[in-house]
Amino acid sequence: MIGQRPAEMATKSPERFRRLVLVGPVGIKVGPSDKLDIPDIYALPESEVQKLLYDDPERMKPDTAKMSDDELAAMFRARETLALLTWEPWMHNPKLRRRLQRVAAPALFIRGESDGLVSQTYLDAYSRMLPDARTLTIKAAGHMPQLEQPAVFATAILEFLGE
Amino acid sequence: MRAWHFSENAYPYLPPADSYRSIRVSLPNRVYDPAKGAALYDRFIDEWLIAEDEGVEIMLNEHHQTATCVDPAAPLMLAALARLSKTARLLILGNPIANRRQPVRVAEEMAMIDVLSHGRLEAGFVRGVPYEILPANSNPVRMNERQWEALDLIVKCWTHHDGPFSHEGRFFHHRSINIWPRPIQQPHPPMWVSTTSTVGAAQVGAHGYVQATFLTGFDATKRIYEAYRSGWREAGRGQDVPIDRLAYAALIYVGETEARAHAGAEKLLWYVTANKVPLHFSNPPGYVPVAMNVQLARGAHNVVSAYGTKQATVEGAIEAGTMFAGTPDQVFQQIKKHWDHVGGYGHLLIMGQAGFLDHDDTVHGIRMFAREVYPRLKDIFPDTMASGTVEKSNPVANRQHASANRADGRHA
Repeated sequence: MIGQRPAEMATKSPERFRRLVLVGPVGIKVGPSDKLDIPDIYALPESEVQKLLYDDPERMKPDTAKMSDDELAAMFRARETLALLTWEPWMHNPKLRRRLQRVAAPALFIRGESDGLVSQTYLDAYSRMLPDARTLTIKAAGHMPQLEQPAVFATAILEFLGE
Repeated sequence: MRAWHFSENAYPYLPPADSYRSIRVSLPNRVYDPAKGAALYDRFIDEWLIAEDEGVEIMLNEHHQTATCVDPAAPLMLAALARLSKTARLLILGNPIANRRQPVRVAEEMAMIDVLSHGRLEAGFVRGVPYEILPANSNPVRMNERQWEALDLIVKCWTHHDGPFSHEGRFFHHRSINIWPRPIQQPHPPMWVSTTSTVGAAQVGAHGYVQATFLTGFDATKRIYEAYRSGWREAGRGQDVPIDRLAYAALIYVGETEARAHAGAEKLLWYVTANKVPLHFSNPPGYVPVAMNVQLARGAHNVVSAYGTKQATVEGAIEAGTMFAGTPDQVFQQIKKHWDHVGGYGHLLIMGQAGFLDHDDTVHGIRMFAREVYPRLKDIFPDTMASGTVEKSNPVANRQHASANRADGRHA
């Protein structure tokens, strides 16, 4: 799920969250107005988007030849949904930023070290807007550390939830 | 048959194509010299007015952030033409309606031009080609739905005369709509819509608007027109679809000699060869249906890249039906062959200027067409004809067409 959605939910019903984990989340705007915080993936060739998404794009990029028609359709439909949710304002909700102080639960912000979409600066700024949050960077992973480093990712989350 | 001089107001003075990724969207405007641009505007307006003098109507279009068409606010150019021209019909094809945030504003602009031109507006609408998405910051998903809500709203803006009305639709919301001026033409200016999909064409046919298609050649045009005629008939508009409901745009150059025609036609191919656009601009998410993207991923031909994949030689383009070029006789025959193949149309949209086709050669092409080809087309394809008479018998039109064919001496 786009990290913006659970962050919004946690600001709306803080009492229903015991712990909050956000992975490579978008949702806020912290940089200057003439520079995108999140690169415009629709203005880049697919090969360059894959480099932003993955630490090892050769290993991770989808192999459309091996996908069934249903899987391909699901992928293209997901891209449409992503466009609907993130197009404007680009990858953020202007109201979210000042609502984040409502989140009551401890939060863990995770980012893959090679994530080309969500920078460390962005993640740090995001996490500082919550009353109780920390960050974790996973090596050899991009925007989806759950796919590139599933074991490290699972361990980190289990530890956090078990505290 | 009505012919239209269509100039895209291209800016051809570009650096080598291998020095940039895309001629659209991202090509820095530093390469545009406003002084040269001003001279080009003067020239293109002159050419429109020469076309008018020759009895040809005027057509223009709108694109954004591109050297292929430096007319990003087409209603402004249309307003100038409304005052500079005197008799020609003025076709804008079109307003990129799925990318305009306020359809009511578009209705106002078009009504104003209709009044300024004393009722000469032909109001065309396009959904917008995929490379318009980023310049407009417009969401590529649900464009069709936005287009049709906007079109219905615009017609209501033009035809509602009893004070403010409200519109609370899926995409557009207004509490008080009451446009001034209202159009001269009643009940409203003629509506044109361009589409290259059969589903879209059926919708346009159901509404009875003029359907235009660009550079779709023989078979694709035939499919689109068939879909239009089905939509028309299923909506209860009658069996006969007048040919003036259908329009076809092609690269057209008529020369006094075959050599001159060929040289002019070569220059028109600039639209095909210069249209360098990467895939991520030409197929944003949601622009084409999911099922088509699945086919594209399986290696199907990308139908959404407008000119890029068309034939890039004069002979190839003529063969494909995207270009009509040659001497008056040759061009007449090429158009007639295409006309017969697709079932008939009443408007020919002439892409008669491109790239480095200079003023004298552009004017030569306009005049040769207007004087040597156009009268024959008007004679053989009168507006009283119905389109697609092969599908459904229409004795009157068939007889007319048959006798015209005999008179022409090429079909027994």
